[in-house]
Amino acid sequence: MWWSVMENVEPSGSPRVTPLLQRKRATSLSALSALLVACSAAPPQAQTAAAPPPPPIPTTVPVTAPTIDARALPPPSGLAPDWLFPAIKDTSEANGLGIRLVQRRSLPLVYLELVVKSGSASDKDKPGLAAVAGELLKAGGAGKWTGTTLVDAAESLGSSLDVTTDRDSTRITLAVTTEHFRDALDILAAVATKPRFDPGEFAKLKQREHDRVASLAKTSAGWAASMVLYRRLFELPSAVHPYSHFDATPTEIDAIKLADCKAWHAREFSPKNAFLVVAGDVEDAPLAEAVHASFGAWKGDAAEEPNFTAPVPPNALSIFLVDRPASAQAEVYVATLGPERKSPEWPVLRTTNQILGGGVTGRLFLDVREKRSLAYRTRSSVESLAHGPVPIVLSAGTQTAKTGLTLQALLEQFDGLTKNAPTDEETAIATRYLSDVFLVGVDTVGTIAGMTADLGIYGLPNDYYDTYRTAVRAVSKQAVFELSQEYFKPEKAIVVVAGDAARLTAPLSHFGAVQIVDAEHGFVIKSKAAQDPTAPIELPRINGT
Amino acid sequence: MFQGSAHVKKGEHFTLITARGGTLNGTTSTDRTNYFETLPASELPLSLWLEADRMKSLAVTEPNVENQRAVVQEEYRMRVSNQVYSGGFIKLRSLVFQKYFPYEHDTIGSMQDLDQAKFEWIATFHDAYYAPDNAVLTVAGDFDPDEAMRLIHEDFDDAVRRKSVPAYVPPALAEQTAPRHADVTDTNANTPALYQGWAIPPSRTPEHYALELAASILGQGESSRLYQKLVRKDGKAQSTSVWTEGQRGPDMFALRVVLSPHAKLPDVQRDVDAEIDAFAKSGPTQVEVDRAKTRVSADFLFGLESNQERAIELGEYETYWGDARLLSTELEHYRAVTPGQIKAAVRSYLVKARRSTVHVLPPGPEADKILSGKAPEGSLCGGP
Repeated sequence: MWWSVMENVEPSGSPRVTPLLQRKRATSLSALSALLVACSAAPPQAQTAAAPPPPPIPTTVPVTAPTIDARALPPPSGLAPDWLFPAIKDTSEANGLGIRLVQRRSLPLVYLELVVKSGSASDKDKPGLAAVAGELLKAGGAGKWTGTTLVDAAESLGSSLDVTTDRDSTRITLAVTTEHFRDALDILAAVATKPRFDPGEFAKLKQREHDRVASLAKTSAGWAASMVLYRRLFELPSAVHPYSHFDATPTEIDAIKLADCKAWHAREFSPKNAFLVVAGDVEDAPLAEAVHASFGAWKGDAAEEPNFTAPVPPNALSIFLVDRPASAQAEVYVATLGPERKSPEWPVLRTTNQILGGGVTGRLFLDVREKRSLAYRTRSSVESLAHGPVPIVLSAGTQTAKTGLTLQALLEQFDGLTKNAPTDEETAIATRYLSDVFLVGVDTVGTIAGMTADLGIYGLPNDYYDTYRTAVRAVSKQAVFELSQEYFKPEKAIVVVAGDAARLTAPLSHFGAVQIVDAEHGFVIKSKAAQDPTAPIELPRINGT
Repeated sequence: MFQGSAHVKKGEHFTLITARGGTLNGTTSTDRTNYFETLPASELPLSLWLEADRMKSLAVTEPNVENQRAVVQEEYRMRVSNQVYSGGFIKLRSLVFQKYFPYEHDTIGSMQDLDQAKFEWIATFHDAYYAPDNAVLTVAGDFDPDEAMRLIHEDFDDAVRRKSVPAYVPPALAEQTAPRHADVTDTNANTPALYQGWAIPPSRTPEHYALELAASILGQGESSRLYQKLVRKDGKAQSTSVWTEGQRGPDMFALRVVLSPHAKLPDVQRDVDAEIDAFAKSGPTQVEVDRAKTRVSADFLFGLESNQERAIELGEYETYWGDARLLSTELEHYRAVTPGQIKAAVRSYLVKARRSTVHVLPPGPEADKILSGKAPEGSLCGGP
């Protein structure tokens, strides 16, 4: 049981090196047991090196000594230690494969991530293709390994071979202790460059994928809502946007052939469309030698980029209700599109999102959860995409009876930032948080590898995280206000609710016309309800919901 | 615990931590409750001050309790009512730990429990257990230990001992002598699921180390026996998982199989029984044991990478076992386990008479038949 929900904000980090279990046992206090694990691997001279002080930090916390009882006020804020993202060493193989090395020697661990810059956006007219083909690289066997012996080999290294597909990339990862990094590289290379595409394993995988999405359509409100949300956010008048499918339907999975998977691999998997991220305890020369031995013979040209036509936003509030009969809870989403990932507005967008619903100090948490007690989990988020505008999504999970009230609250908060600029205090808290949370988050090689991979996917420079921290500290409340006015249009937002349509159609019709979606049959619109401003937005509770 | 104390206004705990670049949260499990903040090293004084203030003067008031009751009820709807197969696991726990109060119920309780909890109960519980003489404070990261101790003394020395905390003496768990079984319907489910559980010795006993490795070999990772058989080879399952709960007192060895749409529960039940019987009869191979130990070693190292995880682990070892330093010798216990010990532990504990089974059924005619006692021929429902 977790009490509060902390959103994972911009990937964050710490430069500290932390020897395992180097600790000093404290003497017992009068009552409380205290344990100290002090870990500072930076050499003494590094700690005292004259580093330029960070920019001034706006804060509402008192920094002067109180006059009466010092312990009645919070201790003054110290200046956060200076911090830079660990250095990335970029090299490449002759075939074009990029190698991005981030050395961390605190623990004998290495995280390997082969990134191919093609994800579900490269599905073309076969939704689900990149995900199925990516998984088949592993399940179908590769090189000298069958599907079964391949996972045996990976797990014998104490690792788990994972292939993940997002909208812009396919990532093959292994995390191992240093002694196994050469064996791990061999496995990664075989999976990427020598897949067997075993027909029997393909048939089984396809069945599993069919079962998975058929099951999700029934069991996961969030998945079903996201399917609708992405279709509508990236809707085009006469074409299919590469980002418009969040996942595939069972019918779409059935349409994928083995030949499609082979063709996708031949088209997208090339050293010129990939890079290898290595984070952890490994030296330059042995790595270069091992990478050359494993990947040197890989050949191929750059992949063709999909056509990212700008999506057409709706001209009025659109409400979609994904029917989940007898559901105990409803998931409510309000969404629109914001600026591009590479836009200079990004730090302002992140600050705006933080103020709106980025954590336990966001307006959604304080209002929808703490004040109105409508939801346990409520937040807003922005997604990173390599091309074009990104989704901004407000969400909350609530009981059926209060779904209308919850939607009303989300829309009010969405609209609120367009009417008035945030307070100085809100802006200061958000910018300080976004800037300094880097110091506490980047303490695993997996996180560092993921953040390094993101830079390559989104076309961001190696010093991006450092310049981002400076930029976010400079964001003003006026900039937040102006961005909100430009992008937040509650009257044209897309609303998706996953819940019991028999009860929820009426309260949702209070806000606009409602289209009811059947998630278990291809997400067709199965019925519609006209707007009824007189419909009550709160329902009587039935069986506690 | 986030609703204010003598010098911290309602909600200010969130604000102060976030405003200085930190994160915070808290969790409950069967054996402990923890609260944690992770901040830049320069903010250690703030973190200690906040924890000390609420330890000494939390605002346990009726309005705060009422506000949080509604929030936790929403959590119940999200994590239990609306979460597929969660009801099956709650039922399994109640079977394995039948009439054993500490572990029989789920941590969050039932919606009825949440409705009926009285303010006085909460205040009394807080007064008795949220005491400095019942707490462990762990600090991990980049700081000067002497300065940290000075701050800790300054903030916590005047926290008053309650002397009301009972000693930890877990009651004995009655030995199960016959299999237990339950069928539950799950409106969120699309396909059936099978849960099985056995009571096993507490964590950090020789048998427990052996059974943790057995769980790894049986059902952790794609090379495990159940995954290979039921997911990869036969396609009867969408997922398999096997684990131990890691409790301080009597523990549970549990498995879950989520069936594919075309698979039948009795069939999968027979397959799982056969795999466990074969494991008990022949034991693991040396290759399987080596792989499981390598996995444990890697998981151990990766699991202690972050300061937050390190602090949580050390705090639990101090809380449960009285010495956080035991964590540094933990891997040796796993490395010392032999294939013979794994086989012996499986033969002793994972036996049919000690087994509890829960069949989770999607709503529909088949579930109606089973739950009304008209199980179709060949079904195991109604009792093994």
